[in-house]
Amino acid sequence: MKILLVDCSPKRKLSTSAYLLSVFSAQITGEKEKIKLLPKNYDLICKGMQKADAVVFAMPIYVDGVPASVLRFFEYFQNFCGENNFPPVKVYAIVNCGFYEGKQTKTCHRIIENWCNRCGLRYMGGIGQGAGEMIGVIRFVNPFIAIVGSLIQFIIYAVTSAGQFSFAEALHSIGFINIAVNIGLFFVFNTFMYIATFRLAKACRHAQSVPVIYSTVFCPRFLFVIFADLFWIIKALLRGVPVWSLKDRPADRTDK
Amino acid sequence: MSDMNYEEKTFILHDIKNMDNSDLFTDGKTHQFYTGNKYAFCKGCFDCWLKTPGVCILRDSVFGLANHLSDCSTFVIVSKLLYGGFSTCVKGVTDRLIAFNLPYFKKLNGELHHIPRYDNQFKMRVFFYGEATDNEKETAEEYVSRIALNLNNEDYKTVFLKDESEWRKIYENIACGL
Repeated sequence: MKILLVDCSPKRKLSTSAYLLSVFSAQITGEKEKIKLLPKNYDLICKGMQKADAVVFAMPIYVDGVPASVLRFFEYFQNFCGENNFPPVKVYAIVNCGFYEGKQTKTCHRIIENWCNRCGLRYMGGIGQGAGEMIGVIRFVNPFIAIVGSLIQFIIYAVTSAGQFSFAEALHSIGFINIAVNIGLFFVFNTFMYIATFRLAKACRHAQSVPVIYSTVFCPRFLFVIFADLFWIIKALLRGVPVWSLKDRPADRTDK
Repeated sequence: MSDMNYEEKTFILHDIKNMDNSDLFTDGKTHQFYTGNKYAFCKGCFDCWLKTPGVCILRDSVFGLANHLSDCSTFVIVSKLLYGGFSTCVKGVTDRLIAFNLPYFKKLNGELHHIPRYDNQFKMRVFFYGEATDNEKETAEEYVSRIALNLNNEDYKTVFLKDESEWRKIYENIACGL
Protein backbone atom coordinates (compact mmCIF):
# COMPACT_ATOMS: atom_id res chain seq x y z
CA MET A 1 0.00 0.00 0.00
CA LYS A 2 1.37 3.38 -1.00
CA ILE A 3 0.34 6.46 0.93
CA LEU A 4 1.17 10.04 0.02
CA LEU A 5 1.28 12.44 2.96
CA VAL A 6 0.93 16.09 2.02
CA ASP A 7 1.80 18.78 4.56
CA CYS A 8 -0.32 21.75 3.44
CA SER A 9 0.61 24.18 6.19
CA PRO A 10 1.67 27.61 4.89
CA LYS A 11 4.19 27.64 7.75
CA ARG A 12 7.61 26.55 6.53
CA LYS A 13 8.64 24.77 9.73
CA LEU A 14 7.35 23.51 13.09
CA SER A 15 3.74 23.50 11.93
CA THR A 16 1.06 21.58 13.82
CA SER A 17 -0.09 20.05 10.51
CA ALA A 18 3.35 18.49 9.92
CA TYR A 19 3.41 17.26 13.51
CA LEU A 20 -0.04 15.62 13.25
CA LEU A 21 1.01 14.08 9.95
CA SER A 22 4.12 12.59 11.62
CA VAL A 23 2.05 11.12 14.48
CA PHE A 24 -0.34 9.64 11.92
CA SER A 25 2.48 8.40 9.70
CA ALA A 26 4.11 6.56 12.62
CA GLN A 27 0.97 4.44 12.91
CA ILE A 28 0.81 3.21 9.33
CA THR A 29 3.06 0.72 7.60
CA GLY A 30 3.90 0.28 3.94
CA GLU A 31 5.32 2.69 1.45
CA LYS A 32 4.96 6.29 2.60
CA GLU A 33 6.04 9.51 1.01
CA LYS A 34 5.82 12.86 2.77
CA ILE A 35 5.84 16.05 0.76
CA LYS A 36 5.41 19.75 1.52
CA LEU A 37 2.78 21.65 -0.45
CA LEU A 38 4.77 24.29 -2.31
CA PRO A 39 4.17 25.54 -5.88
CA LYS A 40 7.41 23.88 -7.02
CA ASN A 41 6.06 20.51 -5.77
CA TYR A 42 2.64 20.70 -7.47
CA ASP A 43 3.58 18.35 -10.34
CA LEU A 44 5.32 15.97 -7.98
CA ILE A 45 2.20 15.79 -5.79
CA CYS A 46 -0.15 15.32 -8.77
CA LYS A 47 2.00 12.51 -10.17
CA GLY A 48 2.46 11.01 -6.71
CA MET A 49 -1.31 11.01 -6.23
CA GLN A 50 -1.73 9.15 -9.50
CA LYS A 51 0.34 6.25 -8.18
CA ALA A 52 -0.86 6.33 -4.56
CA ASP A 53 -3.55 4.15 -2.98
CA ALA A 54 -4.43 6.95 -0.59
CA VAL A 55 -3.48 10.59 -0.03
CA VAL A 56 -3.58 12.32 3.33
CA PHE A 57 -3.73 16.11 3.40
CA ALA A 58 -2.88 17.86 6.66
CA MET A 59 -3.74 21.54 6.97
CA PRO A 60 -4.87 24.27 9.37
CA ILE A 61 -8.13 26.18 8.89
CA TYR A 62 -7.67 29.79 7.88
CA VAL A 63 -10.78 31.90 8.48
CA ASP A 64 -13.01 28.82 8.61
CA GLY A 65 -11.85 27.38 5.31
CA VAL A 66 -8.97 25.94 3.35
CA PRO A 67 -5.92 28.28 3.29
CA ALA A 68 -5.62 30.21 0.00
CA SER A 69 -2.30 28.49 -0.74
CA VAL A 70 -4.09 25.12 -0.61
CA LEU A 71 -7.00 26.40 -2.73
CA ARG A 72 -4.48 27.43 -5.38
CA PHE A 73 -3.24 23.83 -5.47
CA PHE A 74 -6.82 22.51 -5.55
CA GLU A 75 -7.48 24.55 -8.70
CA TYR A 76 -4.19 23.43 -10.25
CA PHE A 77 -5.05 19.81 -9.51
CA GLN A 78 -8.55 20.14 -11.02
CA ASN A 79 -6.95 21.30 -14.28
CA PHE A 80 -4.35 18.54 -14.06
CA CYS A 81 -6.86 15.74 -13.58
CA GLY A 82 -9.08 17.22 -16.31
CA GLU A 83 -6.23 16.80 -18.76
CA ASN A 84 -5.11 13.40 -17.45
CA ASN A 85 -7.02 10.20 -16.92
CA PHE A 86 -6.97 10.30 -13.14
CA PRO A 87 -7.91 7.32 -10.93
CA PRO A 88 -10.42 7.80 -8.06
CA VAL A 89 -7.75 8.06 -5.37
CA LYS A 90 -8.83 7.92 -1.73
CA VAL A 91 -8.39 11.21 0.12
CA TYR A 92 -8.18 11.63 3.89
CA ALA A 93 -7.83 15.02 5.56
CA ILE A 94 -6.35 16.00 8.92
CA VAL A 95 -7.57 19.52 9.61
CA ASN A 96 -6.61 21.44 12.74
CA CYS A 97 -7.86 24.71 14.17
CA GLY A 98 -6.66 26.89 17.02
CA PHE A 99 -10.10 26.89 18.63
CA TYR A 100 -10.86 24.38 21.37
CA GLU A 101 -13.62 22.60 19.46
CA GLY A 102 -12.53 20.28 16.67
CA LYS A 103 -16.04 20.65 15.20
CA GLN A 104 -15.06 24.10 13.97
CA THR A 105 -13.21 22.34 11.13
CA LYS A 106 -16.48 20.93 9.76
CA THR A 107 -16.91 23.50 6.97
CA CYS A 108 -13.30 23.07 5.87
CA HIS A 109 -13.86 19.30 5.59
CA ARG A 110 -16.96 19.97 3.48
CA ILE A 111 -14.95 22.20 1.14
CA ILE A 112 -12.32 19.45 0.76
CA GLU A 113 -15.11 16.94 0.07
CA ASN A 114 -16.60 19.24 -2.60
CA TRP A 115 -13.17 19.53 -4.23
CA CYS A 116 -12.84 15.72 -4.24
CA ASN A 117 -16.27 15.41 -5.89
CA ARG A 118 -15.29 17.94 -8.57
CA CYS A 119 -12.06 16.03 -9.31
CA GLY A 120 -13.45 12.49 -9.17
CA LEU A 121 -11.48 11.66 -6.01
CA ARG A 122 -12.94 9.64 -3.13
CA TYR A 123 -13.23 11.67 0.06
CA MET A 124 -12.81 9.20 2.92
CA GLY A 125 -13.14 11.43 5.99
CA GLY A 126 -10.44 12.43 8.43
CA ILE A 127 -9.74 14.26 11.65
CA GLY A 128 -10.98 17.63 12.89
CA GLN A 129 -8.43 18.53 15.54
CA GLY A 130 -9.25 21.36 17.93
CA ALA A 131 -6.65 23.25 20.01
CA GLY A 132 -4.17 22.70 17.19
CA GLU A 133 -1.84 25.49 18.28
CA MET A 134 -1.79 24.13 21.83
CA ILE A 135 -1.13 20.56 20.63
CA GLY A 136 1.74 21.96 18.58
CA VAL A 137 3.17 23.87 21.55
CA ILE A 138 2.82 21.07 24.11
CA ARG A 139 5.40 18.99 22.23
CA PHE A 140 7.99 21.61 23.23
CA VAL A 141 6.67 22.85 26.58
CA ASN A 142 6.60 19.57 28.53
CA PRO A 143 10.14 18.46 27.49
CA PHE A 144 11.35 22.03 28.14
CA ILE A 145 9.92 22.13 31.69
CA ALA A 146 11.27 18.64 32.39
CA ILE A 147 14.81 19.50 31.24
CA VAL A 148 15.01 23.01 32.70
CA GLY A 149 13.43 21.92 36.01
CA SER A 150 15.92 19.09 36.40
CA LEU A 151 18.81 21.34 35.43
CA ILE A 152 17.84 23.92 38.06
CA GLN A 153 17.57 21.24 40.73
CA PHE A 154 20.94 19.85 39.73
CA ILE A 155 22.60 23.30 39.89
CA ILE A 156 21.06 23.93 43.34
CA TYR A 157 22.47 20.60 44.51
CA ALA A 158 25.92 21.30 43.02
CA VAL A 159 26.06 24.73 44.72
CA THR A 160 24.76 23.57 48.10
CA SER A 161 26.78 20.35 48.29
CA ALA A 162 29.83 22.55 49.05
CA GLY A 163 32.57 20.23 47.93
CA GLN A 164 30.93 17.02 49.10
CA PHE A 165 29.69 16.13 45.62
CA SER A 166 28.31 12.63 45.26
CA PHE A 167 27.34 11.24 41.88
CA ALA A 168 24.45 9.19 43.31
CA GLU A 169 23.01 12.19 45.13
CA ALA A 170 23.46 14.37 42.04
CA LEU A 171 21.44 11.86 40.05
CA HIS A 172 18.81 11.86 42.77
CA SER A 173 18.73 15.65 42.81
CA ILE A 174 17.67 15.80 39.15
CA GLY A 175 14.14 15.17 40.33
CA PHE A 176 12.67 12.28 38.44
CA ILE A 177 9.23 13.22 39.70
CA ASN A 178 9.38 16.40 37.61
CA ILE A 179 10.36 14.39 34.52
CA ALA A 180 7.70 11.72 35.14
CA VAL A 181 4.99 14.36 35.70
CA ASN A 182 5.86 16.12 32.45
CA ILE A 183 5.96 12.91 30.43
CA GLY A 184 2.61 11.96 31.99
CA LEU A 185 1.07 15.37 31.27
CA PHE A 186 2.33 15.24 27.70
CA PHE A 187 0.49 11.98 27.05
CA VAL A 188 -2.62 13.07 28.98
CA PHE A 189 -2.97 16.34 27.01
CA ASN A 190 -2.56 14.43 23.75
CA THR A 191 -4.89 11.51 24.59
CA PHE A 192 -7.71 12.45 22.19
CA MET A 193 -5.26 13.29 19.42
CA TYR A 194 -3.60 9.86 19.74
CA ILE A 195 -6.99 8.13 19.70
CA ALA A 196 -8.07 10.13 16.62
CA THR A 197 -4.87 9.43 14.66
CA PHE A 198 -5.04 5.76 15.69
CA ARG A 199 -8.60 5.46 14.39
CA LEU A 200 -7.76 7.24 11.15
CA ALA A 201 -4.62 5.14 10.62
CA LYS A 202 -6.68 1.99 11.13
CA ALA A 203 -9.26 3.14 8.56
CA CYS A 204 -6.50 4.10 6.14
CA ARG A 205 -4.77 0.69 6.52
CA HIS A 206 -8.07 -1.06 5.75
CA ALA A 207 -8.94 1.38 2.93
CA GLN A 208 -12.14 2.30 4.78
CA SER A 209 -13.92 5.62 5.04
CA VAL A 210 -14.61 7.24 8.42
CA PRO A 211 -16.92 10.02 9.53
CA VAL A 212 -14.77 13.01 10.50
CA ILE A 213 -13.26 12.26 13.92
CA TYR A 214 -13.44 15.43 16.02
CA SER A 215 -10.79 15.73 18.67
CA THR A 216 -9.31 18.31 21.02
CA VAL A 217 -6.76 18.64 23.80
CA PHE A 218 -7.46 16.67 26.99
CA CYS A 219 -8.18 19.55 29.38
CA PRO A 220 -11.29 21.52 30.32
CA ARG A 221 -12.24 24.48 28.16
CA PHE A 222 -11.71 27.10 30.91
CA LEU A 223 -8.14 25.84 31.42
CA PHE A 224 -7.56 25.95 27.67
CA VAL A 225 -8.59 29.64 27.64
CA ILE A 226 -6.19 30.40 30.52
CA PHE A 227 -3.33 28.52 28.79
CA ALA A 228 -4.07 30.23 25.46
CA ASP A 229 -4.09 33.72 27.01
CA LEU A 230 -0.89 32.94 28.90
CA PHE A 231 0.68 31.67 25.68
CA TRP A 232 0.14 35.01 23.92
CA ILE A 233 1.31 36.99 26.95
CA ILE A 234 4.51 34.92 27.28
CA LYS A 235 5.10 35.09 23.52
CA ALA A 236 4.73 38.89 23.62
CA LEU A 237 7.15 39.16 26.57
CA LEU A 238 9.71 36.91 24.85
CA ARG A 239 9.58 39.11 21.76
CA GLY A 240 9.84 42.32 23.77
CA VAL A 241 6.32 43.44 22.85
CA PRO A 242 4.36 45.25 25.61
CA VAL A 243 1.47 42.95 26.56
CA TRP A 244 -1.09 45.78 26.56
CA SER A 245 -0.19 46.65 22.95
CA LEU A 246 -1.73 43.37 21.74
CA LYS A 247 -5.09 45.14 22.07
CA ASP A 248 -3.95 48.12 19.96
CA ARG A 249 -6.43 49.65 17.55
CA PRO A 250 -4.27 51.03 14.72
CA ALA A 251 -7.32 51.93 12.60
CA ASP A 252 -8.33 54.51 15.21
CA ARG A 253 -5.17 56.50 14.61
CA THR A 254 -4.65 55.99 10.87
CA ASP A 255 -6.28 57.82 8.04
CA LYS A 256 -7.73 55.15 5.79
CA MET B 1 -27.80 54.39 -12.74
CA SER B 2 -26.23 57.42 -11.21
CA ASP B 3 -24.81 58.11 -7.80
CA MET B 4 -26.63 55.92 -5.29
CA ASN B 5 -26.23 58.51 -2.58
CA TYR B 6 -25.50 55.67 -0.23
CA GLU B 7 -25.15 57.19 3.21
CA GLU B 8 -23.10 54.59 4.97
CA LYS B 9 -19.56 53.40 4.44
CA THR B 10 -19.25 50.21 2.45
CA PHE B 11 -16.17 48.03 2.11
CA ILE B 12 -16.21 45.76 -0.94
CA LEU B 13 -13.90 42.86 -1.77
CA HIS B 14 -14.42 41.38 -5.21
CA ASP B 15 -12.79 39.26 -7.89
CA ILE B 16 -14.50 40.62 -11.02
CA LYS B 17 -11.93 41.97 -13.42
CA ASN B 18 -12.71 45.06 -15.48
CA MET B 19 -15.79 45.89 -13.45
CA ASP B 20 -16.68 49.41 -14.50
CA ASN B 21 -18.74 50.72 -11.62
CA SER B 22 -17.34 54.21 -11.49
CA ASP B 23 -20.84 55.59 -12.15
CA LEU B 24 -22.22 53.91 -9.03
CA PHE B 25 -20.21 55.10 -6.10
CA THR B 26 -19.29 58.73 -6.27
CA ASP B 27 -19.88 59.53 -2.63
CA GLY B 28 -16.32 58.67 -1.58
CA LYS B 29 -17.66 56.54 1.25
CA THR B 30 -17.08 53.25 -0.47
CA HIS B 31 -13.80 51.40 -0.52
CA GLN B 32 -13.44 48.69 -3.13
CA PHE B 33 -10.63 46.20 -3.45
CA TYR B 34 -10.08 43.98 -6.47
CA THR B 35 -8.46 40.79 -5.19
CA GLY B 36 -7.21 39.53 -8.56
CA ASN B 37 -3.90 41.42 -8.50
CA LYS B 38 -0.70 40.03 -7.07
CA TYR B 39 -0.23 39.93 -3.31
CA ALA B 40 1.22 37.46 -0.81
CA PHE B 41 -0.87 34.84 0.94
CA CYS B 42 -0.97 34.64 4.74
CA LYS B 43 1.95 32.58 6.01
CA GLY B 44 0.58 32.01 9.51
CA CYS B 45 3.23 34.03 11.34
CA PHE B 46 0.69 35.72 13.69
CA ASP B 47 2.79 38.90 13.60
CA CYS B 48 -0.48 40.81 13.06
CA TRP B 49 -1.38 39.72 16.62
CA LEU B 50 2.07 40.12 18.16
CA LYS B 51 4.68 42.24 16.42
CA THR B 52 2.40 44.82 14.76
CA PRO B 53 -0.97 44.24 16.48
CA GLY B 54 -3.88 44.97 14.15
CA VAL B 55 -1.83 45.21 10.97
CA CYS B 56 -0.46 42.47 8.70
CA ILE B 57 3.32 42.58 8.48
CA LEU B 58 3.40 41.96 4.71
CA ARG B 59 3.73 45.33 2.97
CA ASP B 60 1.80 44.85 -0.25
CA SER B 61 -1.57 45.97 -1.62
CA VAL B 62 -3.49 44.10 1.12
CA PHE B 63 -1.54 45.88 3.88
CA GLY B 64 -3.85 47.85 6.20
CA LEU B 65 -7.02 46.52 4.56
CA ALA B 66 -8.31 45.05 7.84
CA ASN B 67 -8.64 48.63 9.12
CA HIS B 68 -11.66 49.16 6.85
CA LEU B 69 -13.61 46.68 8.93
CA SER B 70 -13.23 48.96 11.93
CA ASP B 71 -15.63 51.63 10.67
CA CYS B 72 -17.60 50.28 7.70
CA SER B 73 -21.32 49.74 8.04
CA THR B 74 -21.51 47.08 5.34
CA PHE B 75 -18.87 44.56 4.36
CA VAL B 76 -19.52 43.13 0.90
CA ILE B 77 -17.73 40.15 -0.60
CA VAL B 78 -18.25 39.26 -4.25
CA SER B 79 -16.65 35.98 -5.23
CA LYS B 80 -16.79 33.12 -7.64
CA LEU B 81 -18.11 30.09 -5.76
CA LEU B 82 -15.31 27.56 -5.54
CA TYR B 83 -15.91 24.18 -3.85
CA GLY B 84 -18.38 25.84 -1.48
CA GLY B 85 -16.16 28.75 -0.51
CA PHE B 86 -14.46 31.83 -1.91
CA SER B 87 -12.29 31.95 -5.01
CA THR B 88 -8.56 31.65 -4.31
CA CYS B 89 -7.88 35.37 -4.70
CA VAL B 90 -10.75 36.46 -2.41
CA LYS B 91 -9.80 33.79 0.13
CA GLY B 92 -6.20 35.01 0.11
CA VAL B 93 -7.36 38.49 1.15
CA THR B 94 -9.82 37.26 3.82
CA ASP B 95 -7.04 35.10 5.29
CA ARG B 96 -5.11 38.30 5.88
CA LEU B 97 -7.95 40.08 7.67
CA ILE B 98 -7.52 38.16 10.95
CA ALA B 99 -5.86 41.23 12.43
CA PHE B 100 -9.45 42.45 12.90
CA ASN B 101 -9.65 40.02 15.81
CA LEU B 102 -7.59 39.75 18.99
CA PRO B 103 -5.73 36.52 19.80
CA TYR B 104 -7.82 36.11 22.97
CA PHE B 105 -10.93 33.93 23.16
CA LYS B 106 -14.49 34.31 24.37
CA LYS B 107 -17.41 31.88 24.45
CA LEU B 108 -20.08 32.50 21.82
CA ASN B 109 -22.94 30.11 20.94
CA GLY B 110 -21.30 27.40 23.02
CA GLU B 111 -17.98 27.64 21.17
CA LEU B 112 -14.78 29.61 21.62
CA HIS B 113 -14.21 32.48 19.20
CA HIS B 114 -11.77 35.35 19.01
CA ILE B 115 -12.64 38.67 20.61
CA PRO B 116 -12.98 41.48 18.01
CA ARG B 117 -10.36 44.22 18.18
CA TYR B 118 -12.94 46.90 17.37
CA ASP B 119 -16.48 47.53 18.60
CA ASN B 120 -17.80 48.12 15.09
CA GLN B 121 -20.85 46.03 14.18
CA PHE B 122 -21.29 45.85 10.42
CA LYS B 123 -23.64 44.07 8.05
CA MET B 124 -22.05 41.36 5.93
CA ARG B 125 -23.35 40.60 2.45
CA VAL B 126 -21.75 37.84 0.41
CA PHE B 127 -22.50 37.41 -3.29
CA PHE B 128 -21.41 34.19 -4.97
CA TYR B 129 -21.53 33.73 -8.71
CA GLY B 130 -20.80 30.87 -11.07
CA GLU B 131 -22.07 27.35 -11.63
CA ALA B 132 -22.31 25.31 -8.43
CA THR B 133 -23.81 22.10 -7.12
CA ASP B 134 -26.44 22.06 -4.36
CA ASN B 135 -23.81 20.73 -1.94
CA GLU B 136 -21.48 23.60 -2.77
CA LYS B 137 -24.24 26.16 -2.23
CA GLU B 138 -25.15 24.57 1.08
CA THR B 139 -21.49 24.61 2.14
CA ALA B 140 -21.20 28.24 1.07
CA GLU B 141 -24.13 29.26 3.27
CA GLU B 142 -22.64 27.42 6.23
CA TYR B 143 -19.24 28.94 5.45
CA VAL B 144 -20.57 32.52 5.47
CA SER B 145 -22.40 31.91 8.75
CA ARG B 146 -19.14 30.64 10.29
CA ILE B 147 -17.19 33.69 9.11
CA ALA B 148 -19.93 35.99 10.43
CA LEU B 149 -19.73 34.26 13.81
CA ASN B 150 -15.97 34.74 13.92
CA LEU B 151 -16.36 38.41 13.02
CA ASN B 152 -18.89 38.79 15.82
CA ASN B 153 -21.46 39.62 13.17
CA GLU B 154 -25.15 38.81 13.48
CA ASP B 155 -26.48 40.54 10.36
CA TYR B 156 -25.31 38.57 7.32
CA LYS B 157 -26.79 37.30 4.05
CA THR B 158 -25.62 35.03 1.27
CA VAL B 159 -26.84 35.61 -2.27
CA PHE B 160 -26.20 33.36 -5.29
CA LEU B 161 -25.98 34.98 -8.72
CA LYS B 162 -25.98 33.17 -12.03
CA ASP B 163 -22.74 34.70 -13.24
CA GLU B 164 -20.53 37.73 -12.80
CA SER B 165 -22.36 39.67 -15.52
CA GLU B 166 -25.10 40.21 -12.96
CA TRP B 167 -22.81 42.27 -10.80
CA ARG B 168 -24.94 45.41 -11.11
CA LYS B 169 -27.60 43.58 -9.14
CA ILE B 170 -25.13 43.47 -6.28
CA TYR B 171 -25.02 47.24 -6.08
CA GLU B 172 -28.75 47.58 -6.50
CA ASN B 173 -29.12 45.20 -3.56
CA ILE B 174 -26.66 47.16 -1.46
CA ALA B 175 -28.29 50.47 -2.33
CA CYS B 176 -31.70 49.09 -1.38
CA GLY B 177 -30.27 48.14 1.99
CA LEU B 178 -30.48 44.39 1.43
